[in-house]
This record gives sequence, structure tokens and C-alpha cells, in this order.
Amino acid sequence: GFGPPLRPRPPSAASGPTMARGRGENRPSAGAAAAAPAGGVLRELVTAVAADYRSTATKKTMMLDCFAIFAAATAVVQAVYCFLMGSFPFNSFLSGFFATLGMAVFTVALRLQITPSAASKTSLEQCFAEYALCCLLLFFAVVSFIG
Amino acid sequence: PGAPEGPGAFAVELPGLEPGVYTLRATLAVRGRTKAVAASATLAALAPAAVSRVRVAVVEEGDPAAGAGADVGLAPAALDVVSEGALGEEGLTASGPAREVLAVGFRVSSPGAPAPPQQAYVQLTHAATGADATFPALPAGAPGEGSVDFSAAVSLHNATEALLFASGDYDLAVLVGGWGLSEGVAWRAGRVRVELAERPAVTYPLYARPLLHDSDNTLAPLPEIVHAMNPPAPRPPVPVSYLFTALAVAPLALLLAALGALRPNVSLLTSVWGVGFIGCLGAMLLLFVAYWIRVPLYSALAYLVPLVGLTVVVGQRALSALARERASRKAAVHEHQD
Repeated sequence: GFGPPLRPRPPSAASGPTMARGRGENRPSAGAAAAAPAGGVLRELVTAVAADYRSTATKKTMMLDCFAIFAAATAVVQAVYCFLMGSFPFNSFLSGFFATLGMAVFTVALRLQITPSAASKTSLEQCFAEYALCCLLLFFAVVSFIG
Repeated sequence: PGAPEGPGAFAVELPGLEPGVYTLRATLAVRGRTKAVAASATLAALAPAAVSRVRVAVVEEGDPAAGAGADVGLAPAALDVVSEGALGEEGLTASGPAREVLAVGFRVSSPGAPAPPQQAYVQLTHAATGADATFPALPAGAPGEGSVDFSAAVSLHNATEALLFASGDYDLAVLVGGWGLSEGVAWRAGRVRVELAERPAVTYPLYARPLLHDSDNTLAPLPEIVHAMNPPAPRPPVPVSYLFTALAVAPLALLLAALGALRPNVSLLTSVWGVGFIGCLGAMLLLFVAYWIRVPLYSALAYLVPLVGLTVVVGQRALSALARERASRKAAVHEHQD
């Protein structure tokens, strides 16, 4: 659901040191050589994922991702507060936590439905209408329980 | 002879009738009849009663004076109560745990009464609560000429439950009555202090008795119940609460910043139906906030149901317009490519 799979990228001049260099020419030490490729690979991976995301994700999906991350982050903040300071009042904590978590889940589900490669052929507007209905039901239940 | 008192009625006055039981015979001679008409009835003239020679003593159980019908004068420290209310001056104290007996003896005089008094009781009334208990007195010794001696023995250990386990000052009174007396007598001897054992704490299994058993069967106010509440839950310091509030709001600020950077296309939502749809959604969220703060459930549902219907109608129009707009743009793009 995150677009087409990653394809191996051909080496470019802007990439880091490669194995094409000759022996004895500015070869780094053995320990640094082990760490540098690992860090470099991780950096290359993150860069590749970000570039692929920017190229494949539409503006709608980006906005939904931002909203899902916002909801998940708020849930994490509430969970950390509950873990550190106690759960009083517990019903309010459950309401807030499940409200944000539920919003994140619904948003991710909406994002899965609106990607071009989605198996379901439901229209964009129908997906949004279902998303709005689910969110409103979730809010009503949460407000009834929050105390 | 009787004086006429209306048609067929005669009245006879009998002044100076001494107390006693009489047989009343009435004879009526009718003119023109040879034989008179006679009738008889039993008449009782009642007599007043007086209580005297009241003696009160506190003795041990098993003492010769510690029994109903015994001679209270045999007690070593019997007090003569010469007048009503005089007992309180003596400061008499009796203890139930010490198995002491409160012995009361008195004489009831009713000269000429058709029958001696049969009802004689000693009454103890708790001064603070007004709860009382009565104990029978039995004749002590042979009856005299127009008088009868009574005595009562109140075993405070046995009477603890009848006195409701209430220690304190009690008003002691002698109650006398009988069919031969013109009226009953309540002779208040005075006040005596009584010490009783504490009511034993009985713990019944859960639901062995009805929950309202004590309140349904009490004759005095029940002791106040002090509920043990849970200690308040620990709360964090105020700065910590503010910090986490800021942390919870921070993702919202980041979201708004990210959405601003993405520059969403809101031109599609500026139609009338689009604005109406967003307004309906906002109204529902505001209704949820009002329901949380103040509005009761059924009132909130009464507002919510029509609002849902309106939202459905407006939303269907708005989203249909969006779908048509999107389809027309896609068709225009395809025509341009062709």
C-alpha cells in the first residue's frame, strides 16, 4: 500500500566511496571501514525511502500521513503521562487514548483505501464519508465515557 | 324512693355511699297492677388508692431481699423514699455487670375498695432517651386492713437487654392499678443511676438480616456511621501537568505547520454544499462538547438526530459535487491527451 517496491539504484557520482577505487589509494582503517559502510547504508536507505515517498505519495496521502502521525503522537504523549503520573482518572485516560488511537487507525485505513493500487474500487468520496461516520461514532462513544 | 325524670324514668340519689360492692334492687309499682316489677344489679363503689412506705435498695443477687415479693426492709441499706422525687437526693447507683438487683418495696392503701389492687409495677425510664421498661411487683407478706405491700426486684444483669444496654440516669416510678380503684396511681420515686454492660458487637454474615433491620427495629437513634473513604488519588505537580499539556498540544502545532507546507487545495470546498457539510460536521463536534460539559444524553440525542439527517443530505450533495468535478477534470485531461 505504499506504492511500487523499491528498485536498486545504479551507483552515481554523488554517492560515497565505492569498491571501484584502486588498491592502496586512500584506503581507510579496518574499524572505520566497517562502521562507515553501515552508517552509509542506513543513510542511503533513509534517503531512498524519502525520495520514493516524495515521488509516489500524493498530496492527499501526505496529509493523511501527517494527521495519522499527529494522532499517534498524541496517544503516545498520553500513554507516557499515564505511565509516569498514574492513571487517575482512568476513564478519562482511556477516552483520550482510544480517541487518538482510533483516529490514527481510521486515518490509516482511509489512506489504504485511497491509494491508486488499492484493491477496493470504492470512490474517494464514499471512503471519506465512511471515515467521517466512523470518527463521529468514535467521538460520541469517547465523550460518553470521558466523565 | 325515686323521683320521676321524664316518661318512664326515675332517678335515685345515694349520697355518702361507702366504697364497696352492692346489690341494687329496684322495685316499680304500677297503678292498676297487683304485682310490682322488680330488678336487681350489682353496683361497685370504687375507692382511691395511695402509695406509701416506698423503700429502695441495691442488693446482690441471691440476697433475701433480691426477689419479687420479698421484704425489702431486710436489705442492709434500704432507703426510705418519703416523698415523690426524693430518691435522687440519695445518689443511688446500681450496676448490671456487678450483678446487682434493684429492690423496690411499697405499700398501696385503698381502704374500703371493693377489691385490692392487682396491678403493681416498677417502671424505669431512661432520662436521656425516654425509653422505659416495666417490671412486675408481687404482694409481699399478708395483706393488711385496706392495704397491700408489694415488692419488685429488678435484676439489672438480666434486664440489660430490656433496658436497651443504655447506661445512665433512670427515673424510677411505681405504677398501681386495679378494677376496684377509682383511678390508677403513678408514684415517681426519683432518679437512680444504672450502669449496664455494653451491647455486644455481633457480626452477622452478609445478608443474614435485611439491610434495614437495625433502622426498622430501633427505639432510639442509631449511632452515627463514619464512613471510611478511599484516600485521594495522587496527583502530579501543576508544572508537570502544564508540561504534558504542552506536549499533547505540540503535535497539533506540528500538524498545522505540515499542512501549511503542503498547501492543500481548498478551492473544491468553497461551494455552498461544501461549506454546509463542514459546518454540519463542526456543529456535531460542538454538540459533543456541549454533551460532555452540560447537556444530558437524551437532550443531546434530540439535537443530534436531526443534525445527522441534515449532515447526510448536505454531505451527499457536497461529495457528489466533488465527484462530478473530479470526473469532469479527468475527462478533460484525457481529451487533452487524445
